Amino acid sequence: MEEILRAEHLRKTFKISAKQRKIERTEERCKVAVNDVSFSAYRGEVFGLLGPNGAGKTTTLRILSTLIGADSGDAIVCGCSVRKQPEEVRKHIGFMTSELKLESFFTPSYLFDFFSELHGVPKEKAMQRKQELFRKFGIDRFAEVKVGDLSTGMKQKASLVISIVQDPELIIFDEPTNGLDVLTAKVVTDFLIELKNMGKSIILSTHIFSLAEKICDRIGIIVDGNMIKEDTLAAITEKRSLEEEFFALYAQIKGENL
Amino acid sequence: MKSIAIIIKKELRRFFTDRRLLISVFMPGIMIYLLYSLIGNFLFSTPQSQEYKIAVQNPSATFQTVLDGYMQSEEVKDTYSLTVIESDGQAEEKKKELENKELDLLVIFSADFDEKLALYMQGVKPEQLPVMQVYYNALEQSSQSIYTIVTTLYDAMESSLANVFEVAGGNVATESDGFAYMLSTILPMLIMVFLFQGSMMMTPESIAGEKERGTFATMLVTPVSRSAIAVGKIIALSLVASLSGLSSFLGVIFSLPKMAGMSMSGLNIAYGFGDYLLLFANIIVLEMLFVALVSVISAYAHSIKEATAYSTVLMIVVMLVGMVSMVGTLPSALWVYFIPVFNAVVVINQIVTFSVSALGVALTIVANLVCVALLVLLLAKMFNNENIIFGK
Ligand SMILES: Nc1ncnc2c1ncn2[C@@H]1O[C@H](COP(=O)(O)OP(=O)(O)OP(=O)(O)O)[C@@H](O)[C@H]1O
Ligand SMILES: [Mg+2]
Repeated sequence: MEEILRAEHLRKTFKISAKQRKIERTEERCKVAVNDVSFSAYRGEVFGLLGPNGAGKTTTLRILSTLIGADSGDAIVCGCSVRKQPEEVRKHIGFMTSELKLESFFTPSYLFDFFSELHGVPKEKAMQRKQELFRKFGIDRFAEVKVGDLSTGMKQKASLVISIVQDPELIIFDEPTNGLDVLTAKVVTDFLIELKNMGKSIILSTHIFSLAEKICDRIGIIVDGNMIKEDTLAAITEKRSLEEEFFALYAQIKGENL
Repeated sequence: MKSIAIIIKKELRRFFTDRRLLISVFMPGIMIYLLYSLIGNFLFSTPQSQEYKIAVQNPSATFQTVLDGYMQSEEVKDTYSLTVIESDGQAEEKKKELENKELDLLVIFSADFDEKLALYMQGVKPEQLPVMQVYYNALEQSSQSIYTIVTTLYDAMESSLANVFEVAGGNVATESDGFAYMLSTILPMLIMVFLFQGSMMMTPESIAGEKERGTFATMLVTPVSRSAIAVGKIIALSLVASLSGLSSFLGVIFSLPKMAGMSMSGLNIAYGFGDYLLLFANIIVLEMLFVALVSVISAYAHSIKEATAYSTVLMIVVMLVGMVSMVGTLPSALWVYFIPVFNAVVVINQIVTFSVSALGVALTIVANLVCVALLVLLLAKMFNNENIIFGK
């Protein structure tokens, strides 16, 4: 198995502003979002980062996609260091979260072209990919409608397709189905399965166990910024369901019964 | 380099396909023009021919000849009446009359003006140059025009005589509430405000807005460098804002003649092409400076609302700077041109009052461009800062 990503002792803390301290009623001046996270993901597999709210999933994925820098530790993504070659890393990955939006003023078709250009995809190839992807995911029907006028489901589809304009080796999804209704969520899940079938490597974060069980090959469970378990889905769910396993681990760590 | 071009293209497309934005860009110039030409026409509706009331002390023999020569020329339909005054006390009286707009022009020649001139022509250099003082009242249109006529005629004569005498004197108007006067003094402030508004039209929306809506982060996960995004945005936004600057500029240019009332009397002291060019360059650079300032503010702000609020505070400051020219005479020392924004106020004021210097404009442009470059660097740094991009 070829490693496509290796995170080594990632750590990230945030300074907490006085205003935020008041809101969260805490005296701490510094919040450890990610404490010490190491894991590996393999080519052609789906890696699921599982954890409760505030566990540090988003922070970890943002570090991996070079949107923010780690305090210490490093990650090798597609052979490049996120610390030393962030622009190189971004050439190889597609990153998608519900926080990243498309400008509502433009059409999916134009935005596809725009991001293709930013990624340096040759014009010919971009055209061909656009046709192919738009047809496959049913975007051709509203390719020329402004993003602002699209339904949430259509928007989601457009965002998904545009996050992979450059045909990335590794795709990183943060909570891909968060806040979507069942139909739109299914659009996304189907998209993920489609990508998996195409042989893409994927890392996704979620707190939805059913989704993880459905598509992940490998699971990492993260609680309070620490990776408390990392193994294949098959190994983790050998004795009990993923959900039960998670509760057991959580209780063990926190020393309390749920 | 290529990615900068891609970003510029996108920003411009955003602008040129939005009719609302397009219209708001060209409004300032149209407004300046309408405002000034309406008021200008109303104020300066000059009668067909004019009789000027002139008082002269120690009249030089040349004076009447020169003036008659002008008045009798084809296209001039004006006439004048001349009062010769005998004493200095009477001259003071006449100055009062000038202030009260009962007189249009007071000319005082030094006692031996003609003799000294004659000596000079024979090659004898007099100890003191002959002096000619011309007083007028800038608040009175007819006074302003005859002043322009006389000084221009004598200026021409003087330079043909190789600077043998001095033309002195000036404006006796002491009140500053005159409407025309006010118009010329609020012009720098108006330009400032319109230019600033031009920069505020798209910048908060393009930077704070993208941050707020989450479309900015989408761009940050592409291989494009943060500096390319900063440079691309500033260039595109400056281009758009410059259009609005151009519109303001044209508005000013077309209304200036109406303001100065220069369209009457056969004389025409127009601004040269070079002056216009300097004014335009000055306006564009100032616009870029405003865009860069508002960009940095917008990058710092969390929302369009916040960015607009902060920028409005800055606009009030800029407006106050623009108002300085309404309060008193502006300094013209060299250091003035190194103060960003203020230097532009000084230059615009100089252009309106026909006293612009090329060096001043050049220094102003350079100083402001240096500021723009520094702000672009700062913006790129801010885009690299995760607290700015993802800060809560
Ligand atoms: N920019 C920031 N400034 C301060 N604290 C932050 C910042 N970003 C994240 N945090 C804190 O770090 C911790 C981890 O956040 P993170 O968003 O990574 O969690 P998550 O696992 O994605 O949670 P969720 O399931 O709610 O999305 C949280 O306590 C959060 O409040
Ligand atoms: Mg999250």
